Amino acid sequence: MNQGGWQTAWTSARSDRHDVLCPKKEDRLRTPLVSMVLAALLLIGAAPGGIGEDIRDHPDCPICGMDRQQYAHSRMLIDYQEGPVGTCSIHCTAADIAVNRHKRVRGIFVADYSGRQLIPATMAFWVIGGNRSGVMTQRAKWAFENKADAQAFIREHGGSLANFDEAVKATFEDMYADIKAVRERGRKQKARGMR
Amino acid sequence: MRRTRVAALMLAALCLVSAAPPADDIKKHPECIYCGMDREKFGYSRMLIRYDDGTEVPTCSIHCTGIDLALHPHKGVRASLVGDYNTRVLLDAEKAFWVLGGDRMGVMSLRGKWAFGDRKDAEAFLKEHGGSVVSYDEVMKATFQDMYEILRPLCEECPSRT
Repeated sequence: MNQGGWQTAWTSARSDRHDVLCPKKEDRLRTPLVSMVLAALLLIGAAPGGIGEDIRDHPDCPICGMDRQQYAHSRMLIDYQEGPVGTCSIHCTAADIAVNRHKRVRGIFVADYSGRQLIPATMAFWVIGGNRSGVMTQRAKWAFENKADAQAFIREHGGSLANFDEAVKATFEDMYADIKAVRERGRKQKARGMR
Repeated sequence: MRRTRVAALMLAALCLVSAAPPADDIKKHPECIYCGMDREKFGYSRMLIRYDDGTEVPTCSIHCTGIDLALHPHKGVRASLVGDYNTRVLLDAEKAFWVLGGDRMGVMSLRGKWAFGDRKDAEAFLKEHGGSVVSYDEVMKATFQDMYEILRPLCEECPSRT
C-alpha cells in the first residue's frame, strides 16, 4: 500500500502555504522599510479593491451558488496564485481550500461584519456563536476588523471571541452537521413544492 | 512437506485474488475524481456516492467523499457505498462497522477510517491495529475534523484574538 505519494505532495503544499502566510519569525519583516512597503501594497494594490469590487468580480459563491452581495457581511476571498475565488462564508472557504489543496494560497480575506470591507482573515477578531443565524452553518462565525466591534456584537448577541485558527477549526467541526442541515432543508422544500 | 503444500495453496489463493477482475464500479470509474488516485489500488477504502439526481461520484476514500459532500450540500444522497477493508466488496456505508484510528495510516488522511461489513472483522482489526468502532456519522464528522489539518498551517501563528 504505497501511501507516500499523496503524503509528500500534501506536506509540500502545506509547507508552501505556511511559508507564504506565516513566514518564519527571522524572515518576517526583515527591515522596517520593507515591511512598510509590503503593508502599503497590501492595503492599496495587492489587497482586494474597494468595498464590493470583489462582489462585482465574483458575484456568486462557487460552492453553494449564494449571492455574495446578499451575504456581503460574511463573504470571503481566497487569493490563490492560480486565481482568486470569492465565497459566501468561512464554511465554503474551508470546503474550497480542502478540495484545492494543491493550489498556493497567497492570502485569505473576510468581510468586516460591520463595515463590509475585506480584511485579512488572520488579522480579524472572530466571533463564534451567538443568536444571529450563521451563513451555511448553524453556529455562526463572524469577523470584525476592530475588537471593540466584536465585543459590542458579543454584548448584544452572545458568542465568544476567537482567532482565525479557532474559527477554521470550528468550521470543520460543524461541517458535516451543516451539510446535513442544508440537505434536509432542500428535501423539505422539494416536498413542499410537490404538494 | 505439509508446510510446503500449505504455502503453495496460499500462493495459489493469492494469485487468484490478485487476478480477480476489478469490481464493476472500479471498471466504470478507475480513478478518484478529486485526487486522481487509482480506485483499484485503494479498493479497500474506495467509495461511491449515488445522488438523487442520478449522478454518481467515485472516490478513493471517505476524505474525498467528504469533499464532494461539502461541494454539493444541496444534492440529496440516495446511497453511500464503501469498499469492505478485507473483501473490497461495496457495502452500505451507513450500515458498515467503521474503525476510526489505529496504527494503519489512512488514505488521504493520517487517521485511518476503515469500513467492515462484519463486526467480527472490525474487532479483529481493532485487536491487531487499535482504533475504535464508530458509526458512519461519527467517522464522517472525524473526516471533516481531520480536514482542518489542511488549513491549520495557514493560521498556525494567528495572533491571539481573545
